[in-house]
Amino acid sequence: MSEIKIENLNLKFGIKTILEDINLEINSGEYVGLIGPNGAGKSSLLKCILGLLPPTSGRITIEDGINFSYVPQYFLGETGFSISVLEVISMGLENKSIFNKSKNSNDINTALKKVDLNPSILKENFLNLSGGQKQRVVIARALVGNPNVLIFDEAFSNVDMISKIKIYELLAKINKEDKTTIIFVSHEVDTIIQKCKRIICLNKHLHEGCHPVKFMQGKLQRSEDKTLQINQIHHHHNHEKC
Amino acid sequence: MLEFLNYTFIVRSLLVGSLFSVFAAFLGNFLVAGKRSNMSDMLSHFSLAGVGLGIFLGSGVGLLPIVFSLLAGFSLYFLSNKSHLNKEAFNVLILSLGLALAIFFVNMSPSSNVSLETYLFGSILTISKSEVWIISSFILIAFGLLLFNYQKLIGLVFDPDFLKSQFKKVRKYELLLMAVTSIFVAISLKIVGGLLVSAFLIISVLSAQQISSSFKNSIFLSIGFNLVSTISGIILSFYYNIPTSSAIIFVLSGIFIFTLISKRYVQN
Repeated sequence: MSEIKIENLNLKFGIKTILEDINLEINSGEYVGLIGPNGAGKSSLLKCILGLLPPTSGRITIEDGINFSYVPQYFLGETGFSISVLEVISMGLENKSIFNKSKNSNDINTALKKVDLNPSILKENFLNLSGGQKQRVVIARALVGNPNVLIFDEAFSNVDMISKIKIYELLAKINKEDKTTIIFVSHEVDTIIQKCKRIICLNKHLHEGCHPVKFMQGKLQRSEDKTLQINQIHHHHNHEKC
Repeated sequence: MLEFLNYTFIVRSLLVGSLFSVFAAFLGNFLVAGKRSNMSDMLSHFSLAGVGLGIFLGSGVGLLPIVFSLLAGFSLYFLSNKSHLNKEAFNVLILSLGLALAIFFVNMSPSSNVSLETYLFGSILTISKSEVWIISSFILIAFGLLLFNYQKLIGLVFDPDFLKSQFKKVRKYELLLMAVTSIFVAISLKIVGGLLVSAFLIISVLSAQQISSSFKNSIFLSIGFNLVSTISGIILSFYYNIPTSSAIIFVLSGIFIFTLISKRYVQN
């Protein structure tokens, strides 16, 4: 059984169609890249999966016991309100009772280790961190509850290239070692091509089997396959560069 | 020098004022962090409609401000969740409507012993013994509820989408924060007045934000600022015969300017 199964999903805001007839299955341990231009409905699809947005029609079936976590596009900096790194990561803990401090502290330290941050950062004001550090802290917050599925929503807009590459490596490690399913959303096609084992193109509809580069250029190319496998895409991509 | 302590009404107002200001600072951090600062103004103005209705009916004010405040709070919550209503603009609508209703009721009422002015500007020095009990009981219960749900409430005000994606039944935290804020604002009318209650919720938090590095740190600092301002404001009003609420707000504003300058000084 798939971890996530979406059947005939439609989403409308008033008369505006956001998503139309989406059918998709995501299996345990997959690393799925979701691409599409601005306004394609990527964030809306994620919000439907996370239960934040009820679809107008259709069905989303989530396997029993699946624990989602979410890395949003923004970095909590919008409020401009001081909050420590410890307080940010603690948001992801289910049981935050004062009687459970040692267990919570273990979970937080484990999450910090996964994202390669030193525990001394816990006392820092989140607002004073660099873009890359903020990103890692938000990933640690997502990991602290030990999720089976991790959803990333175009979270790299304020991060420099070196930090981005390190975060890509980190995600690949989490996917490989913890068998965490990752749904990675970006409009940076190169990133998706390099890192994701399965690529889904979205522009209101799912465009199955399109080449991601052509898809983003607006030149749709359909194939028999539901989604392209990573080796096919690499081959195609390299060929195009030549 | 401590002759003001010989007056029961001063001691009573110091006790209530201290408890009030501690809780106002605590709650204010959640409101400012969640960009809900305007909400307290909206609730306080709509509560005044309850005061006006009490005056009009001649039945005394009683629980009417609390009923009106809860009505406004939950209208905001449900309408902004069910539709794409602009919360900020809706706040202004409710605020204006509340004030209009208050003036309407007072103008339509036969002569009354209760003055709307008391609830506009507050009268901490005239708090009765029974009011002390009601206010203290509410504050202690509300404190307990917010502390028990402290971590979830932080998630709610900083990143509601994340909280909703992680945990079930998140709505109860939103309703709790809304209910506590609505009731607190309504019972504050008698203490500091509808026009000044927001100052107690917001100014000390703004000051704390200049120098704090965490949410917890901001809570402790703002509680300290509110306490210092309330106690010194009451004493100043006793010795210099100035309105108590004004004296407290002057001290609060002074602390804000001090923290702002301190921050600049440290940064340079």
